[in-house]
Order: sequence, then structure tokens, then C-alpha cells
Amino acid sequence: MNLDSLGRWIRNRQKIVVIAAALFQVGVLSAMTGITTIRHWNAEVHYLRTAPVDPRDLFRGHYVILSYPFSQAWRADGGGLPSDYSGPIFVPLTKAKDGKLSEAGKLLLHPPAEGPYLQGTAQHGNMRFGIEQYFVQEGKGLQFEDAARRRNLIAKVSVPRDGHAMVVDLEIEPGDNLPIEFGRN
Amino acid sequence: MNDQGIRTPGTVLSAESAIPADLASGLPTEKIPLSPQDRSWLLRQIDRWRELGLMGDTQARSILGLYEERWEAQARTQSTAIFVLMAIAALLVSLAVILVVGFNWEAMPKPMKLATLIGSVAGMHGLGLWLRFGKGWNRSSEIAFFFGCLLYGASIWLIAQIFNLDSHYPDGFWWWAWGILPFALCLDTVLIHVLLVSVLSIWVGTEILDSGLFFLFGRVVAFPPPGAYTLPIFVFLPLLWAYRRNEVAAVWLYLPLVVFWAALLPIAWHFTDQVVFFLGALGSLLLLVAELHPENSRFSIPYRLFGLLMLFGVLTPLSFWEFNQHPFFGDKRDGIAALAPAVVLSFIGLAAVAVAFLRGRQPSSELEVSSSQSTMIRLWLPAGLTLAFAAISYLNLWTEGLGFRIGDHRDSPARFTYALFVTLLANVFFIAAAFWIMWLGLREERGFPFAAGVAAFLFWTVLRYIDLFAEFGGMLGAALMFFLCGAVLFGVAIYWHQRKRSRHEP
Repeated sequence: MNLDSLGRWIRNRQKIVVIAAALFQVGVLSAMTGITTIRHWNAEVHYLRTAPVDPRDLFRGHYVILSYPFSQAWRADGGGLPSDYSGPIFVPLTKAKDGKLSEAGKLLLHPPAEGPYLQGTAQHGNMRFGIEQYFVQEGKGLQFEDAARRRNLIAKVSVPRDGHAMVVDLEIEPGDNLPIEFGRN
Repeated sequence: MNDQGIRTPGTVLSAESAIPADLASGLPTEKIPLSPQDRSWLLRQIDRWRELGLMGDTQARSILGLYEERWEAQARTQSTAIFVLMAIAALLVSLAVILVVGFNWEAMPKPMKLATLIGSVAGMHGLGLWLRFGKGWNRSSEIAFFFGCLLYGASIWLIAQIFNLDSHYPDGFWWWAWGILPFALCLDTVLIHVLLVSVLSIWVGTEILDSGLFFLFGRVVAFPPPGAYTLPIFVFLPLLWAYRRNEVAAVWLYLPLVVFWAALLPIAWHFTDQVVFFLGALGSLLLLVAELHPENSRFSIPYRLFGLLMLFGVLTPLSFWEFNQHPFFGDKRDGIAALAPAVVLSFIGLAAVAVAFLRGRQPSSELEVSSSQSTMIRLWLPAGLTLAFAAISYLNLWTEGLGFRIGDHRDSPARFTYALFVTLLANVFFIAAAFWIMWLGLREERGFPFAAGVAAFLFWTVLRYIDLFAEFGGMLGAALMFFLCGAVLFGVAIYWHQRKRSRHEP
């Protein structure tokens, strides 16, 4: 098929192509919804202590940027990784037996043999695990800022088998807690 | 009458403009657009020709029947204005939708938000289909499809918001562009193309400059660096559409995007010190592509304009001694990897020369068999420039290597030789390119390219006055330079005058 006949083919099947394009768009949006739902259908839920700031996204409104102690480890002591490392990283998670919060293990370059873990990306000394933002209704970010000052904000995180986690909810613990010691696993 | 307020082609509009059956058979069925001013001029001329007996009433009516009537031209202009207004309205309404859903209203459950988003996209495209294929209202349907494509993009971001997804965000623009592309190729106006180019520009910029790592379907890939490598597919098909539909506006839209992408590629590959040579080679390549078009083709103008802007944009700093003596040293690479940009430029240059050679052997048309010399000049300057930038890239790398071995590379003999050679070469190319445009204006008898060539030449004289004669030659040196430049331009003017006389006088 030469280029001219390709152009003619598209023009002659305009209705089919337009319908297919519309279905493609609906399909992409449905796939985004479906894949995320299926991936997290039976995922484990972990509670991680976190600290937020409150920025705003041009497309998606207000959200809270979340910071975790294990994602700051590299900044403090390298976390056992080479300083110029770029690529996937893994953090094993262990559910505490006597409490709600999960414990994060040492940074790894390969997924652990067993147990749940978070999978993230390291680049130029920064790490992201896909759980660094949580969208809130406009004007509702203040309560989280207040919780951040008291260091008692908990992220409820859904962790599927492949480690690509998602923040499900933010919870505020009552009372005051000690400051989070960033830079230590 | 369709929804644009314009009667369908071929309809007899009035007794004045009716085309006789015997004449109409061989005439084009679509009326030629004509502005009210041009129509007034044509009416005056036809009256004059009839008075002189050069034309009969039947011929006058037939000629007028070929062109749009005044009310048709006005209706077309109004229809375009309404179309633009509706497109802007659709854009604003989509922004409102983004902000309403982006507000992230907690009272609305997630499934309802998702159903609203997906349903609105499906509904808007359904409306577009009904308007286009049910009612035959093509332009109205384009607005609906445009609105649907905007909602689709907004939905990608808003679904990510609903699930708090935090992945490689340029992928959102990439998927958005794939959803728009088929609509752009199927529909009739450039409206969807404007949206596609906007989305692709953001994708290219964020993918190359902001992401740092190359993600393939959400997974990090160690090599190659992120370079928006699927852009050629997004651009090739719409350009094909533009040529088939004779829509030069689409070329004006996509060409800056290609230039933007190509300029960012050396940055993505961490060859920032080679960007200037890449831009120069790309500008020369665009000039070559412009010359591969038929003479006086409207499609050649965007290539030529962007090519010249890039070429002069590069030759201006390269024509300064200081720029070449103390260049910007970007990322360093050792061994064979350092040669990569020069090798790529060599292939581009050799391909350009091969194209020029093959095209130069073919006459442009049957009437231009004898114009092989003209074809050579048209093609060989851009092709030669493309290859020259590859050569300069090699020289630059060689100079850097030699400089490191000797000691301070900035003041090394190799750097001095390189700076002298490149400065002279860039100045020669600058003047050659300026005269090439003047010659182009003469060849096509168009004032704008000729004026641009003169302006480029004057710009060069000012540059050289600043850095050379003001420093070394003094006032007398500057006077000599201006005198020589004036004499050259005077010579060109005399040549043009004689050429026009020999062409147009019997």
C-alpha cells in the first residue's frame, strides 16, 4: 500500500476510523481505571508515617506531596546505593505485630525474595515510589498541614504484588508524636 | 445549504452568475474563493474589457461564475469566524470541566467521577458522529470532536488524580496524542491539528527536559536516554494529510515542532557542546527540502523560512572569533562515544549530498531542461552546508582532544587554528547564504526573499563592524568595508535590472 492509497483508505473509511478513534479514547480511559482497580483489588494495605507539604497542580487541583523516611535515606547516608545510580529500587515492608504502622527495610536494587515491597525509581539522588502525592479537595489541605506540624499523619498505602503502590487515604492520628527522623531506615 | 451558511458548489445562484451548460461541462465544479476587494477589481476590469469589445456578455458571466460572489465570500468569512469562536468556547468549557473535577469534590464518589469522565468523552464523540454522519453538519461535528479530544486529555489527568497515580507524567500527553491523531487525519480542518501539535510540544519538552529517564510503558529503560522517539510517526502522517489536502497551514504547525524536537535531541543525548552544529545542519537540511519542492510551491516557504532562521541563528555566533576561540564545553565523553554526534551529522550530510546529486540530474520540468546550473545552485548550497557542519563537528572534537593533551585547551594551537578556520568559513557561508536568498528572490521574481537576503547581508556588515573593524581596522577600515558592501549591493541591483530587461523585453 503506497502513501496515496493509505490517505484514500482513511478518507474512504472516515466513519469507521472516527468510531475506532473514539473507542480507542474510551478504551484508554477504561484501561487506566480497570488496570488500577484490578492491580489493587487484593493488594495488602500498609500504614506508613509521612509528612506533607501542600502544593497545587495545574491540571489536577490541590494535592499533598508526601515524604517518607525511607525515601530520604539516600540523602542522608547513600542508603547503601552508589551516588550516581539511576534505575529501579525496592524497599521491603514488614507489618508491625503490635501496632498499625508498617516498617520499611533497607533499600535494595532487586526485589526481595519474599514479602511485600515498594518498587520505585532512583535518579540523581532522588527516589520516587509513586506514593508521593495525594489529591485533596480545594481548601482541605490545611488539616494535613496541621497534622504535619504535629507529626502524626499516616498514609494508607495499597501495595500490590509488583510493588507499584498507590495512596488510598491519609489518616490523622490523634495527639502529638515525636518528629520523624529522616535519613534513617 | 449546509451548516456553514454556504450553498453547495455547482448550485446556480443567480442569472448574473449562471454558467451556460455548454461551458460548464469543462469547468471546475467548486467556486474559487475571492475577497470582496478582488471581486470589485475583477468587475471593474470586466466592464473595461467589455467596453473595449475584448469580451462578450456570455464570456463575462462565465468568468464571474467561476468565482465566489460577494455574499458567498462574506458568508465564508463569517462561517470561519463562528467556527473559531466555537472552538475557543469548547476550549474554555473543557477548562471549566477540568477545574470542576480537579476541585476533587469529596461528596462525589469515585465511581461517579469515573463514569462522568468516561461518559462525557463517549457522549461528545457520539454527538460528533451524529452531527457529521446523521445531519451532515461537518463543521459543527469538528467542534464536537475537538471538545471530545479535550475532555479525553482532561480525563487522563483526572483519572490519575482519582487514583492518586504518580507515574511518568509525560506518558499522559503521549496517550493523549495517540487519541487525537486519528481525528486529525480524518477530519477536514486544522483545528484538531492545533490541539495535537500543542499536546505533542508539551510531551516532547517534558519527556526530554523534565523526565531524565527513558520510560517504556511505565518501566525504566537504561538506554537510550529519553528522546521522544515516536514523534516522527506523529508528524509524518499529518504532513502526508497536509500535502494530500493542500493544507499548507498544517506544515506551518508541524515544522516548528520538528525543529523543537531535533534541537532537543543532542541535549537528551548529553552532547550539549554539539547543539550548534546540529541546528546548523538541520537548518541546511530544511533549505534542501524546500528546494525539492516544485518552483513557487507554497509548501516550500515554511521549510525555507525555518531553515534560514536556524541557519543564520547558528552562523551568527559561529562568525565571531570569540565564540570559536572560547566555546561552551558541555558534557564530556570518552572514546568512540565522543564521535557519535559527528558521525550522525556525517550521515545526514552524505544523505543530503546524495539527494542533491540525484535530484540535480533530473530536470524540474520539461520546460526546465536547460536549467541544470540553476538546479545545482539551488541544491548544492544547502547540501554542502549540511556536510560542512559535520566537518566542523569533527574539527571541534579533534581540537578538544588535542587541547587536552597539550594542556589548557582554550589557548592551544589547535583551538587557534580551529577558531580561525571556522570563523572564516562561517563568514563565507553567511555571505553565500545571503546572496543565495537574493538569487532565490530574483529567480522566482519575489520581493520578500530578495529583501530578506539584502537584510541578512546588511546584518552581516553590522556584525563585522562590531567585532572586526571597530577593534582592528579603525574608522578607515570600517569605511572600506561599508564601501565594498555598498559596491556589491549596487552590482546586484544592476544585475537584477539587466536580467529583468533581458527577460521581459522582446
